[in-house]
Amino acid sequence: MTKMKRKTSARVVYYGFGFPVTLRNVPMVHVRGAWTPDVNYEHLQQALLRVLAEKPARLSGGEVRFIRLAAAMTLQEFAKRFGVTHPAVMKWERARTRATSMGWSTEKDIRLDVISRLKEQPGQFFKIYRKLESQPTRRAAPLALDVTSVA
Amino acid sequence: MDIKAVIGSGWHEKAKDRFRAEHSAWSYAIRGKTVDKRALRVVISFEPDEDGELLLLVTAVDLDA
Repeated sequence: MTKMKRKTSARVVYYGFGFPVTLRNVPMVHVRGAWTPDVNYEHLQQALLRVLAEKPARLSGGEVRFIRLAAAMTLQEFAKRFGVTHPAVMKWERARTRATSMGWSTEKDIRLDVISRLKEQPGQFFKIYRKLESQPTRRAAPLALDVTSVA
Repeated sequence: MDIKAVIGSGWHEKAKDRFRAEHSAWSYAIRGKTVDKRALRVVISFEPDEDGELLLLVTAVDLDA
């Protein structure tokens, strides 16, 4: 068995979740002629959901789609869960990298639903609820995540 | 997430399995539907590292594109 080449990249912009995420301190492995992130994507997904729930800017269309798919919900199921029509969800997701047009109360509900699915401690849920009392900016804010914090 | 949905509920598409001589490894095809009901083929292959652990390599092909 040959020893694989490994390195740590200070910054990798990853598009695999449907929107750009800047990953920092990414362990990389050289496999079959290409460098690829050597990360547990399940853990990365969970960490990203946690970051999105507290994101200091409104959610983009791609981020809403990511949240929906992480919950394994169809457009119809997601719409029903949040009391809107499925064309409304399609419209949000079409915003892609821009902030969606949804009301803040709906977005807050979505963010709290994310936290409830992550099975955070009740104290943590309350802390985030209080944090979401102030509405974040509509300006686009790219996400960044330090991979060393992802187990 | 689409890949996870297909691996969890798809079927083994044996006719698309291939032996990759350049890597001395088999790749296996799984076909299924995403959460949004799009047809997806997921091709998986394994690469052993120096510790004998297997790295999972995944390629996805959107069949509705």
